[in-house]
Amino acid sequence: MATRDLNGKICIVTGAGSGLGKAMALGLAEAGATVAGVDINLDAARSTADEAGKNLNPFACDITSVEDTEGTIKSVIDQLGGFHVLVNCAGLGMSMIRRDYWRNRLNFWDVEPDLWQKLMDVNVRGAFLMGRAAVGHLIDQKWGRIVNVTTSMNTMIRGGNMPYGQSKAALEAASSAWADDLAETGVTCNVLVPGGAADTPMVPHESPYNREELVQPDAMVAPICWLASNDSDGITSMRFLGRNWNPEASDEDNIQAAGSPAAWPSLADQAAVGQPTTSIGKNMPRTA
Amino acid sequence: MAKTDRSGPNLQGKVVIVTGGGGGLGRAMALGFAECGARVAVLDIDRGSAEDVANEVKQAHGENAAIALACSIANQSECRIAVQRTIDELGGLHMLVNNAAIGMRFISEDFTDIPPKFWEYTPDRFQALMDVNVTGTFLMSQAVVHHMMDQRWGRIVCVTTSLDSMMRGGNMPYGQSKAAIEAAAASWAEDLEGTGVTVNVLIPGGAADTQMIPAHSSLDRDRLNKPEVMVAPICWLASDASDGVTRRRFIGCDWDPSLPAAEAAEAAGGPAAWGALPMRRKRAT
Repeated sequence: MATRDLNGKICIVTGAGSGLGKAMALGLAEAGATVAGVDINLDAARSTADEAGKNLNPFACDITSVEDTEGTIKSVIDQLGGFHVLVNCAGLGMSMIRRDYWRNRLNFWDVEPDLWQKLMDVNVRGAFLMGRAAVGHLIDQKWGRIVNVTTSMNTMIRGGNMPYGQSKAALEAASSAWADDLAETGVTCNVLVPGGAADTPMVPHESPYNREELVQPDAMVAPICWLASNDSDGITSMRFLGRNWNPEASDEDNIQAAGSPAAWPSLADQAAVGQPTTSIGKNMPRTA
Repeated sequence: MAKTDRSGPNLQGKVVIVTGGGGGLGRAMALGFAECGARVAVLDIDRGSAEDVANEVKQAHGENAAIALACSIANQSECRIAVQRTIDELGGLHMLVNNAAIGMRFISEDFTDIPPKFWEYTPDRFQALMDVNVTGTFLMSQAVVHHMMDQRWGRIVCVTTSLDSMMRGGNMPYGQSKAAIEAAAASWAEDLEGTGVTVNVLIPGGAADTQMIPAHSSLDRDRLNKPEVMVAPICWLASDASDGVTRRRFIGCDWDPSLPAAEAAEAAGGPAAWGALPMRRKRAT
């Protein structure tokens, strides 16, 4: 079993007040990282920090605000003494638009445009604003990580699942492109997903899932700790499934079992006329 | 005006809205529709270019063949008004072509030679592009769908981009905006199953020779796709011959006009989005 010592790594996790973000924030703090637990709800971030006991500092931030995102990155660097890893986990799910969407199907013509926009703003704009605010510092220190939490590839295109699915498709595509943009900088960009519906507040408790069969948020912990460590140097434009990551196995085995290129490079072979094809991801080696 | 393929489908009685109809791919599709007998609402944020294309159609096919609509598709009430005007003035509505989009020129004039990195553009530019490309496509589709469902026949076609362009460095936020539309098109097709309304994707199949590529770009314009590669597939999609074809993505430059349309569609088509990806299974334990 790989144990990570993340001492000295300073990580920002958005959506740290609940669900996957909370699990990752706690896991990173447990592994010795200094964590900025970011949430729009400061009380929720505080409660995660209390649960950690040490290494976890709550920050309130509306990630759809340019001022808030720039301010939060600056505050983290000033207050925690540096910054290395951004985990874009904050997201709004379909239950924000219709509480019982799993029973009462939400077709796209019934989605209220204001709620549609609110979800897109958090899930797509928010990740972009955090990424752009974070990247200067990471490039300057020639080491950094951006990890974007998206969703299963089929969830992105399933009926009754918009705009959540399309918001995650946009973030998946961006992750691959950002990895290209960051080539040779020492900063990587990867995707981490649970690998199925997860046992978080995004799946309402009255929904018909057997909660024990849902992916537990802790499935994100071992892969995020690896991604935050120097052990994942050079791995970029990949997507990892928490469910398939076995904390008892070697990193190399886990990269094979849980990793694949981000987005859809295997389908992207019809190269655009006169334009270069994606250089990273398509040819990404599958082992460290 | 040059006569296009005479073997194109008969679209008499069909009414189509083409967003971004004032230029590029939209103009080519609008002219192609009219050539097959459809009436066209040429919608553009730029009133002048919408009127130019509508006038071009009217001169060739008569006063009732087209209208021009000046509309910002990022605005819900403007979308609703444009759809109602089409129904009132052209006597119905059968197809929406979601073609309008802001391209990478808006992010950087030199994007083909110096691809802009994602931290080099402002949030305002990001948002303006996403609002037109993603929100606009959603709002227009919402605005047409009830009319189409009520008449139990309709078409929504989304123009996206090549799958590699969606995820290529130096191509955000355009690429991610198109990934979002692609995903939505696949999902909307499922929402509309059994209604008689289909949703498909049509792309040229590579960069096209439109104003989205600036004149000073070092790209070889002769190698770019001509906007006319969209015409045969979009006219087939507008016709009754494509009834029941939904959740597909078609590549214009792969469409062979010498083949019967059904065969050309088969050769140039595939599942929308990344429906062809093998879905990963749980790790064997």
